[in-house]
Amino acid sequence: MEVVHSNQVVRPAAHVEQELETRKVFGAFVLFLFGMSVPYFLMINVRFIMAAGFVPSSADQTTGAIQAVLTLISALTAWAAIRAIRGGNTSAYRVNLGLTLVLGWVSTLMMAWEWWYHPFDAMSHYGETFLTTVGLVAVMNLSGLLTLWASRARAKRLGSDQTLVRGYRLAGMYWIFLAVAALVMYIELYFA
Amino acid sequence: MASVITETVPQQSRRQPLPPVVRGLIWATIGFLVVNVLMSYVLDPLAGHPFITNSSVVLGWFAAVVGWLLGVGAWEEIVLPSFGILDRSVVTGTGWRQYFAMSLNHKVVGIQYLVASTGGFFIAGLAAMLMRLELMSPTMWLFPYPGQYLTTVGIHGTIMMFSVGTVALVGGLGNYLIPQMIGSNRSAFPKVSSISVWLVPVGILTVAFSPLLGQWTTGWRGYEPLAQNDANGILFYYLGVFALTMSSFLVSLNLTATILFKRTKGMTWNRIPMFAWGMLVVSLLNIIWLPEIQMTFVLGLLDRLVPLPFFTAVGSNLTYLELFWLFGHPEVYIVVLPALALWMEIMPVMVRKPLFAREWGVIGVIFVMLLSGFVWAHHMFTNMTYAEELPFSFFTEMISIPTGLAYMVVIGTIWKSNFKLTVPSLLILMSMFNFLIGGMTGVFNADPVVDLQLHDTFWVVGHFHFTIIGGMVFTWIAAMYYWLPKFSGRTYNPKLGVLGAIWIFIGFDGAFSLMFLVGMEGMNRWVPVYPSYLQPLNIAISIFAFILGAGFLFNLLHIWWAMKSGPKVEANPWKSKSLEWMTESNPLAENFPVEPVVISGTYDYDVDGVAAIIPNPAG
Repeated sequence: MEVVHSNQVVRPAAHVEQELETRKVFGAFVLFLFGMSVPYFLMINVRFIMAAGFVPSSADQTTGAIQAVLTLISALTAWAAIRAIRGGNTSAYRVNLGLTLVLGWVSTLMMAWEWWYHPFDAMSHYGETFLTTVGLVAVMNLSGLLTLWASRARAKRLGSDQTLVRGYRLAGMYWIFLAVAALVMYIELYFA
Repeated sequence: MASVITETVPQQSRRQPLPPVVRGLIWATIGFLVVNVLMSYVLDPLAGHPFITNSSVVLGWFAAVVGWLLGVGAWEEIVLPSFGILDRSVVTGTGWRQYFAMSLNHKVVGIQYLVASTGGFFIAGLAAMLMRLELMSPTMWLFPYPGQYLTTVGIHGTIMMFSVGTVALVGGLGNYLIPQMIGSNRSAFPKVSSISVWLVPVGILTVAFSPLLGQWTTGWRGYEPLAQNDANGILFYYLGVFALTMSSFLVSLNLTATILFKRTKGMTWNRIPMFAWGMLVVSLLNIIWLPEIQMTFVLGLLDRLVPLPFFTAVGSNLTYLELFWLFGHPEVYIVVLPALALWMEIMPVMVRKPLFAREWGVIGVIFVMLLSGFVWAHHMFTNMTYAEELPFSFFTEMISIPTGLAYMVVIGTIWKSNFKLTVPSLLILMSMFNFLIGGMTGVFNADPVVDLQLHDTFWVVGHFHFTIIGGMVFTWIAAMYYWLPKFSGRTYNPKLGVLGAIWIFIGFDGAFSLMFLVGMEGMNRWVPVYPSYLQPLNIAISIFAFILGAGFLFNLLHIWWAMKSGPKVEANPWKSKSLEWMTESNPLAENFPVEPVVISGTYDYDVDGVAAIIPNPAG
């Protein structure tokens, strides 16, 4: 390949590069979420293959409801954290992310409770799909909590600049995705 | 859009006391032992009886993988920076040491993938040789028990599909070539590929050592509830494939983002190289289907560990097959689509003529991707009613149309050209011939009436090997010869290259075309014993298989020799217009000192001039 040198092209300005980087990161994030949603869809399918729309009368809907409400609130605090960091307010970001972490941990531990004290036969078709679905949500939540923890620690140590803010926002958005998925699975398990 | 983003380089750095791979092995061992002891002595009510239980080995395996990844460099490159701690340790090394650690250089990662895939190819190939040795006699003589033969079949298929078929072209050539082809200095997320490659050896070794936990007779599909009858080797099947598919998933995310967002100026959608199109559609397939099969394997794992009754006789015992093939047939196109794209990538260079009907080539790979999700149930015709079979039969036959577009593009490109027979072009023609046989025999399998007669016979074995080896492996070898000057600055010996190509063509076509015959005469799959009237054909197949195995080894040694000692060549010996040939051959060098600008199509061989220019850094 012959290399031709030309003087006509200049590098894009820094803000253009930042904009391109943002598009890249958020575009890849959408692809990532697309892939991450597949296990949830699969469990919904499996549930209807195995147990159709059956919900046992002994299902503990109260614990499920409390956990769902906590998850919903944690999504709101995560959203508040994203808004704060977009405005450059690192301390508000950390406070809101801290709240999200607390609520997320409580709701995830309640899932562990649901999982441990399931008031129905684990060997039934509903039981096996319930345990596996709750297990999936809990494991995914743990990955989200780890991400939030890392993001909060990073914000504390490194503060915020334009390149770091993208990562901080993504951590919050990932948690919102997980919260929405957990709510959908809650409805699917208890009301479908 | 390519942009050189400088890494944050610590002012002072200290070396790791241990090489990363050694540290990874130590941390993996510690992780396994700690978690296994915790599970089998502390948490297990029957403490220490035995030392390794199903649960302890599974959780110990996860701990070992985490330890391995952290040890090879994820601790400094990913974990600590994620928490805002900028460690000053150096784990990447310099020179050849880069190949034994996490590397942010996409070319180093590509070579790591290629080496790992090649290792998997020969491990799985050795298993195939053992199978063929066994089948030279109609009675058991090599393996003491049928389960050992079937375990060998499973190891062969699993490693071939998940560490070679899915990985070599995407993880290997994709990582190495795609950033260069689109004019970028790096992939979109270098850390993602740098860590994902280290899951490949984990996956290969986990599957290869699965007999340590006992036999598994399910083959590469891991069929439940069949697996419930086996010992525990299936656990390592699930875990190994989980590691391999996770690697492919991460690479696919990275490659998709790279192609979408890292293209240089002028690399518009109608100029994107065909190989990049192939990578894009395959990556999208991976992003959809790999999480699906991973979750299915988690359910299979839970069936054995808890145990839950998902896929057992009291559960829904066809559901596993449905969930598996929902992934399983797109998997075939995950393997083959990059090969079709490579045909269209390499042939215009060989014939010095613009790519014929390029748009139809792109449409072809996109429609193969779209239709690949509509054909899966043809693997289950024996379990379906005729009414259910019809749509899957229809779509299976329809998918041959977009597949045929790749043939049309390549043949149209060769038509009335100054075709030069080189080793890469010879291997691609062989690949096209073999894949055509695989595709045409697939039409018979797509017809339920015929399929019910051929199901589970060696006809099917012949069919899918003609598609996978014929389509993908021949093209992989063609690509290795073609880009050899890019990898090393050296080239191959043409006579040895032609000899190697003819050698594997004879071995391959001899072995697998006879499988059609032996299948139609009644040779079943999954059995190490068979009626004695089939022995002569089986002996002939085995002899051709050994010739094929030796041929692959010959090509490997030839490529290795060429990379080390082959004749030196100029930077762009094929006179290609593609951007990767503008870069230095040294894999450790930066691709483009300055972002290139694409000014015309990279297949425009009917006009003089270059496809891209390098702007003067001085502005």
